[in-house]
Formats: sequence, C-alpha cells, structure tokens
Amino acid sequence: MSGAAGPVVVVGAGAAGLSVAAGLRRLGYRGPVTVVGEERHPPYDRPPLSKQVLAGAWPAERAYLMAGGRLEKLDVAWELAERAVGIDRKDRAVALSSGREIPYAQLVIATGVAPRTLPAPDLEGVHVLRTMDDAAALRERLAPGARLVVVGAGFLGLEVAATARRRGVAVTVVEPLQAPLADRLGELTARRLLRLHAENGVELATGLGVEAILGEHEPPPFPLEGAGGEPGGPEPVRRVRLSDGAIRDADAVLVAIGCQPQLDWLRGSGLELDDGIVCDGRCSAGEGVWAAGDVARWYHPRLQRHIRIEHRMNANEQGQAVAANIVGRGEDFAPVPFFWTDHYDVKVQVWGVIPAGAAAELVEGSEDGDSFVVAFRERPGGRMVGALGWNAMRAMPRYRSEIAASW
Amino acid sequence: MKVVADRELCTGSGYCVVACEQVFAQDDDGLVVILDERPDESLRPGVEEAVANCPAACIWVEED
Repeated sequence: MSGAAGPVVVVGAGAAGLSVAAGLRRLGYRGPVTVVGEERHPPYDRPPLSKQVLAGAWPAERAYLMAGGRLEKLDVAWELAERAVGIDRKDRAVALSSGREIPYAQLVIATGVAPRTLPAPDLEGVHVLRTMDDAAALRERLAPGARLVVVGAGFLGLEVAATARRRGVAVTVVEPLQAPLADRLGELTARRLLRLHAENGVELATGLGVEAILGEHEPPPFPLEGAGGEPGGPEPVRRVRLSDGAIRDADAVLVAIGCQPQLDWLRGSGLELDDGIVCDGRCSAGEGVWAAGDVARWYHPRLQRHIRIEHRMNANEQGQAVAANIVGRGEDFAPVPFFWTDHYDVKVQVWGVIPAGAAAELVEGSEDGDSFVVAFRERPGGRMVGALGWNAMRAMPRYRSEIAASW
Repeated sequence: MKVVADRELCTGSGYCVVACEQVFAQDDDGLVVILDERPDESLRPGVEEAVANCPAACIWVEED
C-alpha cells in the first residue's frame, strides 16, 4: 500500500487520535478518516488543564489542538459526543452509542484512560481531573481562601496543588506512600519536589490514607454499600478524615490516584486486554486493529517488554507510528520516552527510563541549586538509560542524544 | 514552507532541536526559537518530525 485501502476509523479524539489522523495525511493517505470522540470538544491538549487552564491564565479554547484552521485542513470526519460501544471484527464495523455503525478497513483505538475514583459518597465538590469540563468544574472551587484536599501525591495531584497555592487556596495533599514519586524521579528529586511544595505552603500528609470524605452529616466511612445522594441533590463536601483520625476541612477534594484504561466495551472482541490493549512492536492489536496513546500496552522492542505510557509525548509518537504502519511502513515503535511536569517555577523533564535500582549520578548543578541534571545508569559506570533535568531545559537535548545513541 | 511557532504554548522539551537543529533552537529559558523560517525543502523531514511530535503542539508549517 502506500496506502491502506478503505476507511480508517480512529476511536478517541485526544492527542493520540489526532496524531494518527494528522500522520496519515502527512504520509499521503487520501482516503476517508473518521475520528470518534466521547467529549463534545474538538481535540485538545491535556497538560495545560492542571496548569494554565486551571489557573485561568488561558481560556479553555487556548488548549485546542491544531487551532487556526489547521484542524479543518486535515479533512477528517469528526463524530464528537459519540461513544464507541463495541466492534464487530468480522464485518469490520464500530458500533456507536447513538446506534449507528461505522465501517472500517483499519481501526485505531486511542481511547486513553479514565481517572480512578474512591468509593466515596456522592458529595458536591469531590472532583477528578481528566477532561476540559473537569478542569472548569474544579476551577470554580479554587477561589482564594478555599480549602482543597488533594488525594494522591502524583504528578497531577501536585501540579494542581501548585496551581491552587498560587490562587491563594489552602492545600493538603494526602498520600499513602512515605516517599511518593521516588520510583518516577529518583529519591533525590522526589525529596526536592516535596520540599518545594512544603516551602510553598502545601501541607503534605504522607504515609496517610483517606478514611472518609464527609459532608455536613456524618455518613459511615467508605467503602460504602450503595451510597447515594441525598434527596434533592448531593450535599457539599465539608471534611476529610485521614487514616490517623485527623480531620481536614475541605471546600473541595481532588482525587488524583491515577488512571486506568476503560476496556469493557472491547470484551468479547477477541483483542487481548491486560491493563490496556496488548499490541506487538508495531502497535498492531490484531488484524486491522491498532492502538495508540495511553490505552496501548505494546511490546517495546528496545526495552523487550510490554509497556503502557501515559505521557503526552507518547501520544504523538505512537500516533505517528500507527499512521506509518497503516500505510505499510512496517516500522517497530521503540521510542526514548519523555515526560515533564511543572510546579511553581520549576520544570522537571525526564528522558529515557529510570529502572528500579538504577545508579543515579548528579552530572550538572547541585541538588539544592536552582538547576541540576541527574543521569541514570543500569549500573555504576554503565550506559546512560535515563536523564532528569530540574530547570535544565537547554541541557536536556544533549542527554537525550546520549541515551538515544545506545538505545 | 514557512515554519511558525506559538511560543506561549512551548514547554521547552527540546524535541524540535533533536529533530532538526538547523531550524529550531532554545532560548535561555528553554523555549523554542525558529532559526530559519523558510528552510530548504531538504530539511522538510526533520521539520515535519518536530511538528508531528512536539508535545506542546506549538510549532507548525504553513505552505506557501
């Protein structure tokens, strides 16, 4: 082929789905492309949702991808506010929630992930943050002087904590781990990041769980059986009780305890599902079916294992890889992973991987300085497999090149 | 082709520099700088790779 015959249907209108569509056009595929998206919004960028959009520095539309007429030029049929509810692999069709079916020759699943939730009672002011509408709802709660409890000291929870502090919101972060993010950033940087938050007035309640999220009236602690809202709508959240019995007053709670792929609609499709859609090294999930982005668990040929990556860069790169393989390039997908996270005036960037037990070496700056770089090697003196920059944006491409050279 | 950047969107990943250092650089803050707004066609593959993978979607090509 330089050319897949017949229509391509992409399920998922986020960054990965858009990357597939744009990649197909870039590579010369002129056939029909349909993108199905559950939300009413056109494709948008998620990283700003916890930062510029939540802060109100940008109007939500600023996060729309390929603005200024570029999206229209892709000549893609958009099926927005539509959910895919099943696929018929024999007849090659996707069933939509509206009852329609869309035929495909090549199907790409790029449905992303959904936030994990707590089995909390139905209270107003308990939020997750994944979508643009989630960001708008949470933003309403972050007035100066408000009290926010964040459950989970991951990247999302801490980014929101930083944004909220800058709006004059009192923030408590509750996290069961004593040393959160050490596995993602290395111990040195994880400690430094938590210290940055403490210096900015965030209360870090590490080593503690949430025992109950409470409204005005004291409901039983969760997990609850069949907890429902009060007649006349849910009451507002008032307090959070931690696992040591301490109480924090709360006008809002953000539950940021990670995400998981939503795969129920694919049960019975014959696709292999295992915390993601299992794919080979070319992102193929089976005859005529591909996966890209957060939902794809593909065999990374360089790392020689199946991995799933919930990072913005991977959505782009994997979307491009799927597009290339749909038009018959036959390329393995073996990227050097990349992510970044922003807190106050600090940007942390990581290229490559940080294996458990990696040898960490400070290669630029000092750990208490304004800027530093940590290199990660499989063993002391071994080759570099990861590099982390703390406010070291200009230095990082060099480390990326060094990692890629032996990748 | 004309290469365009929306610097307010830039997150300073430096991916563009990795993909095509003849066209893209980073300023002191790590943000994208276009070195050559109208690069030679021979640089198109690198420019397109930078555009396709930029994690902030802050660079693009306008065709003449």
